[in-house]
Amino acid sequence: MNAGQPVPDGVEITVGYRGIGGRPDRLETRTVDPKEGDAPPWDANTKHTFVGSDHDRVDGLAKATGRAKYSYDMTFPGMLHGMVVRSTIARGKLTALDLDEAKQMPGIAAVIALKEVGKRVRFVGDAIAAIAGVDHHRVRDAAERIKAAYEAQEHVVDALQSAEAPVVSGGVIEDPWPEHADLDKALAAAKTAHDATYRTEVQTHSSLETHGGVAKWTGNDLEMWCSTQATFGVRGELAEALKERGVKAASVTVHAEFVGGGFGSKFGAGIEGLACCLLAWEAKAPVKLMLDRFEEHTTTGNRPSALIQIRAGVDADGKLTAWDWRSFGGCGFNGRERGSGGNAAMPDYYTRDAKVRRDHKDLAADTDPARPMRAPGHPQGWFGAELFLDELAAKAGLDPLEFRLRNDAETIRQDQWRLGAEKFGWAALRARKNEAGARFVRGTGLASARWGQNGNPGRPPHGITCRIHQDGTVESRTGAQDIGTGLKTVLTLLTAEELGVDPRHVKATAGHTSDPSGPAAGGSTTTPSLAPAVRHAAFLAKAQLAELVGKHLGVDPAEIVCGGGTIGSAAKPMPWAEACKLIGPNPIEARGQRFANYEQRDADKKVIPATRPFSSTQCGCQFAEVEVDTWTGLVRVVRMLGVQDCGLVIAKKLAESQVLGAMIQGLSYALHEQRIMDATSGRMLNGDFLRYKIAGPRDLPELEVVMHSIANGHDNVSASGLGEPPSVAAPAAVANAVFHAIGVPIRHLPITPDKVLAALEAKKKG
Amino acid sequence: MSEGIAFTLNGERVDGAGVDPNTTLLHFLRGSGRTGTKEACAEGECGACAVACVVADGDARSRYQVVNSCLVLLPEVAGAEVWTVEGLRGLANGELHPVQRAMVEHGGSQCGYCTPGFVMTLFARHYARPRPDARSAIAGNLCRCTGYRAILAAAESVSEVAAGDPHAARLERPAPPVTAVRFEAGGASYARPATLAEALAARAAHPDAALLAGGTDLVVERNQDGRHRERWLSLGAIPELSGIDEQGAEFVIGACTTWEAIEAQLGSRVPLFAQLIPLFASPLIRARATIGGNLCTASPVGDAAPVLLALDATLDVASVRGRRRVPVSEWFTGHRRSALAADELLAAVRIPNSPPGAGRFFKVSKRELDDISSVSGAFAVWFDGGVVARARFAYGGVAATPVRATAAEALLVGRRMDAASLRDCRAAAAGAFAPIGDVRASAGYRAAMVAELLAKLWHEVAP
Repeated sequence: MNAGQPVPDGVEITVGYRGIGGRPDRLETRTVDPKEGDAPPWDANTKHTFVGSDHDRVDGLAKATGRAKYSYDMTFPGMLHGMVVRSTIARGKLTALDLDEAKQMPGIAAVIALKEVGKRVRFVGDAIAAIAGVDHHRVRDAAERIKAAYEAQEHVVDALQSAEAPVVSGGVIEDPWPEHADLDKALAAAKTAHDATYRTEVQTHSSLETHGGVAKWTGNDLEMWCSTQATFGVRGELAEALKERGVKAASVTVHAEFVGGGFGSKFGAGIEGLACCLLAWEAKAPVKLMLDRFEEHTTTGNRPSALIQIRAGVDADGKLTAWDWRSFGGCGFNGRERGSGGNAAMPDYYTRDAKVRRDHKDLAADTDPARPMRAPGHPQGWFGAELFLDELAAKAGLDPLEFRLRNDAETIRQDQWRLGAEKFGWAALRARKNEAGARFVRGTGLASARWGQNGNPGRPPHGITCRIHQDGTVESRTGAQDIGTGLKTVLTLLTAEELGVDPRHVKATAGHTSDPSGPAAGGSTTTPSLAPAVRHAAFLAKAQLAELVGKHLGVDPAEIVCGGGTIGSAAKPMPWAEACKLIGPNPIEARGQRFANYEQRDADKKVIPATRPFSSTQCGCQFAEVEVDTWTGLVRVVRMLGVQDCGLVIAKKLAESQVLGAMIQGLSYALHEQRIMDATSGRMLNGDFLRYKIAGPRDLPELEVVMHSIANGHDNVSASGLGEPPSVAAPAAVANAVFHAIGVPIRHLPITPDKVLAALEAKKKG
Repeated sequence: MSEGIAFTLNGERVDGAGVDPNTTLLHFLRGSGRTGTKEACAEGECGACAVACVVADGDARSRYQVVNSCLVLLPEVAGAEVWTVEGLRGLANGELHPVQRAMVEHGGSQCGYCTPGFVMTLFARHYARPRPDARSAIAGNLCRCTGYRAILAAAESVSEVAAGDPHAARLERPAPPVTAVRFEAGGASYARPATLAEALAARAAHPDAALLAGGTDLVVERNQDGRHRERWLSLGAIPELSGIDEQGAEFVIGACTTWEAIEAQLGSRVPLFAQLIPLFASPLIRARATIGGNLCTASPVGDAAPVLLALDATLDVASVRGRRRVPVSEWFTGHRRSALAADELLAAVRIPNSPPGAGRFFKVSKRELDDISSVSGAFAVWFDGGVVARARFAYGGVAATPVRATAAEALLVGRRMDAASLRDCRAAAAGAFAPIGDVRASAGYRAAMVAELLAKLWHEVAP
């Protein structure tokens, strides 16, 4: 491609993918109209050099040597340590707060109230006050001198015990289904019908780096190193919260160059971040305030629990004709508000031809509220739906895969099912019979995944800075954060690809709000939202270099091409380093922009088919094989396979790593994870890693992943999100495999040994 | 007697004088700007804070032992050689260590916060002879992005130690000795005497002092309650308390012998230990946790207790008043209480050096490995011809203390292990305990396991 050439109106591109699973190619053409000045689109025929390669994570070395500095690692001379003092009751009112004695304690520099007397206390761990002092011991000692008094009210920490909860008996919702003429008719006419109730428990994010940060003031200017997945969000939040102190957005800088996990829990500075800034202001010294593991489990959000009831029916062909769904989300204290995060999402691609009803209600409890967690609502909803489908398929005498193939409306996944089934050996595994009376029994299950994220431009649009220096090095910079998903590697490879230089010449920087704005790392938006801007920035910088080279060579800049480490005319290519010497002491600097996706709508707001992306959702499916010890009830996942679409794969190793990680995290959710609350005290009983178990290395099954790269044609790169999509299917696939192994479904996650034994016992009794 | 707590960190001498003994090695490292070592759980569960210490491997050589620095008080490393992620080197200056290179090339990091811990675990494994299998070696490290496959691939890709490796050269010399230490700082005192007599005198003088062996329970407690202990008595430098002796028909195991050492020395001699130890916490914990510590915390779910009950262990207890022996069956006096008097120390654990006719240790937990037991059972059966001469059925997690199902044991004596005796023993054992339900398992599940584990025993060992 010529350097810096404007793109003509209406570019024809090829979208889709070459056939997988023995199925035909899915290639189509589109005519898109890129914004003037944007980099020309890549499509299914584009040959990449670095994009899609096995390149290492660019900050892997900093991480492996311990040089990567996380917020938890920031240290300054005279820095103090902060701590939040928290409520010991779950519900009531703060009636008195005396900080004076704590202020007099040795080594204490600041004590502040975080809750006004008379305000509600909403859960055990609600922030009351904060302290900063010279070390942890002094701060802990001072915390004991804070006198808080409460007017306690009766609390409920189990959402299913709340007044609005449905009556559940023997694991089944007792309240009758509300009438619905069409559905009732469809169900009555169904050849086979089924009705069952599913439950999941509260899961905590359990990021290894806890929430918090380091705050440092210079006059009214604030710098905060914050463990966050939203640098710009945190800046706005702090500026707003501190405006009475004369703080403005322009005087707040947030840093998050390395973040030790977030998974949806770190979109804000939170009360701990604000407390850190207030303490630093008060103490006139930098303050570090990081939560401990118990606070992390109990005050920084979670994936809410779910109670899901489904009834559905199929016709004689095994096609779903009726689908009735009601779900309840176990939220925290804000569960009475709309959009409080309890949503249990439901797959809709199986039921396109069925009568469908869907109802959801959030249930409040006096606990820490829900926050988004990796594919909010999906793992819990898909667990219910996919296990239900296997139960219904069994009733109807259909193989679970065959049942999916008859009902799944997505062509992409139809292809993935076949590819996955073949690779996993589905047919043979399902045909295998466990010996009667065997202690160890095996089973195989599958489940689908779906997510929809092709990125967005942001408002105003996200940007990227690209600089080319005299010495040939290149910078690509975003103020958005890389929480481990690999944003810096994405910046590096896209920039290297566009400039035709080796990635080692490119340095990517992320996570300082002094650089161009980018999205929060949530909903799998970061890569698809920023990738086109990265390319655009490099494309513009390249055009500036082409000007210099053209002038130098006496060639029209329009004839300058680059690639393979050279830039110049076809007859006179210059080595990249030589060409860059033409740049003056100031680097070439270009600001790329995230334009809107290509999709256009007509006057009736209907999408113009020629501009439509190949797909607006990401499809995936996963397979799992388990072994169940019928004596102890212990479940071991033996093998898993994931097939995952994420648009264009930019950094292959990192993309695979995302999918593999999501599969193991899903295994962890399926078998281990569960917040356990004490009804009497309202306190979490397993708020540590000793009792709250996440999957460890020994849980690792044999894993395989197939990255299904698709040229989607929605922007100049066409990357899709990958954080969430692979995390949807795994728990359901494991649950289905357990169902296959023992012949009875475990309808309540996590699948702990006691539930397995109880199910086997119940089966024995018939 | 050393007055300070100097030690060698990444090859350089570091002075910890004046540091409060309540400070963990992790906080000392991070507080002094060495932040490559991470903090994530402060309870020895995640391994993000892993560092390597040079410890003895026989008299002439040494080896790297990886430990959780969040569970090591700073004075415990007085005189020691400690390596952190910042100190690793490749063959040439400025080159990456092979395990670091492998982690980069195999994509072993996502968010990267756990990476230094994994690197240190793999570092120690790199030089271990024989090298443990990778999966077992990393069992004490957690990654929440769950990039375990890449980490495992990195571990498995690392080749043999290269000639001229600077870290290998160190192992050709003896480890630094663990010497006596005594000092006060920050309003707290710390003493690590080098003889049992001194330790007993100190114990008698200050029965309130926190008794420190491996610290894998006590320091977790300290980290969680944040309480400043004013007096520490460490038992880590007393030769009489660590090591294993064969005396007559017994193994005499010093109370401060670590599970790592017990595995190395008795793994092939005591089959029940061989079954127990791989299920006993993670390798990082086993490097520090001691047999005596496990008995003195007297946890109802400690995994060693049922095994020692099944083996009819005897405990040597010492004080300035003299020594006495306590059968392990009389050791546990209540929930987290033992027969140890306020001025006594547990000195040694005696077990027979000939194994029972059959022995089994079963651990039932929610997560297969590296989890606290819901129920554990240790079983030993001695045969006389085809019939059982003696039986020991010991359980953890079913009562306030580790406990034996004596009625069931008695029922088996003089009988064959057949369906009839199983039925009788199951019934007797099932009725013997009234376990409680808690975060790990329901009461019903525990009660069921008491009987199920006997079925498993019969299935596996019945002649």
